[in-house]
Amino acid sequence: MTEAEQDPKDLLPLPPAQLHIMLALADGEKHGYAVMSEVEQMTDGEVSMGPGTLYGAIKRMLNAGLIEESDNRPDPEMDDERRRYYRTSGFGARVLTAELSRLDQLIRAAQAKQVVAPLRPGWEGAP
Amino acid sequence: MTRSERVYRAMLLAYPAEHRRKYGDPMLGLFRDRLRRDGGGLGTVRVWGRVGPDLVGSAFIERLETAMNVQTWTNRWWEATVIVYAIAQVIMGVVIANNMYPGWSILIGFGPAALLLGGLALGERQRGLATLMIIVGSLLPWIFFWMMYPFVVAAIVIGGGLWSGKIGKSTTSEPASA
Repeated sequence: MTEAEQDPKDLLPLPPAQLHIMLALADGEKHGYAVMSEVEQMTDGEVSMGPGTLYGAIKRMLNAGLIEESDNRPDPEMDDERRRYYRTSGFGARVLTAELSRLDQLIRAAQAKQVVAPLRPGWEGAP
Repeated sequence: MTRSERVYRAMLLAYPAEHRRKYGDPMLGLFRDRLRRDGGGLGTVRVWGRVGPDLVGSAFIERLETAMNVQTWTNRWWEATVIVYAIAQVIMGVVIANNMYPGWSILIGFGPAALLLGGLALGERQRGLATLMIIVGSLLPWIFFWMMYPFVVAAIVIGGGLWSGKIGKSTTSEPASA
């Protein structure tokens, strides 16, 4: 089955490490260290992935077609050429959207049951 | 390369070879970057405090995944079959050498075993030659068995005949008296 034929919902829910990596790559390609740093920044240091967890998740995401390895080097002069860059694939972007919608639905359900208060005044969730 | 990096590189041996080949360098690079950012004195200890358990846990998962892989098991079953067959050939070689002619033990027992194990050792490096060695090693004992087959059949027929008394004795009895 090709990625175009595969339903993004087949891969849901995404494991937490994969979701964090997908979010880190959502705004452009990055190498492993940049992904790790961004995940730490996004979660205020709550989530800190070691090299084993990060590259284990990257391997599975490459196999599932969620991300791709990129040959581009933003600045080859300044960069270590052994670094590998990754970017979200088209299929990966659809999976990420589906996962965020699922989480949004879950938060709304929790709010409706008054398990959690609205996260932010006026916050209406993802568009 | 610092001492920590050397230790981490050695610890990467905990991962399966395929994983190490693909991700060993980037993992070491990431560890190095992290050491540069957070390392030095107690910082290095803190880095190890996070990276050590991560390495042990993720290496265990990768090993488990490799062990559960169908392709790996297919390869292992194939290798196990060839090894068992080779051991059987060695045993046959010892038995033949002790009880029959030593020359036959090389053709039927030890020779095929050497071909089987040699082919297995060559593996993917020289796939064509390895396949040929394993095929010849598998068939060689049977070729000699089939060459011996007429003699074995003859021995059974003659032996059976002697045992039942149908050979060596006249099967047509003369009338006692005309």
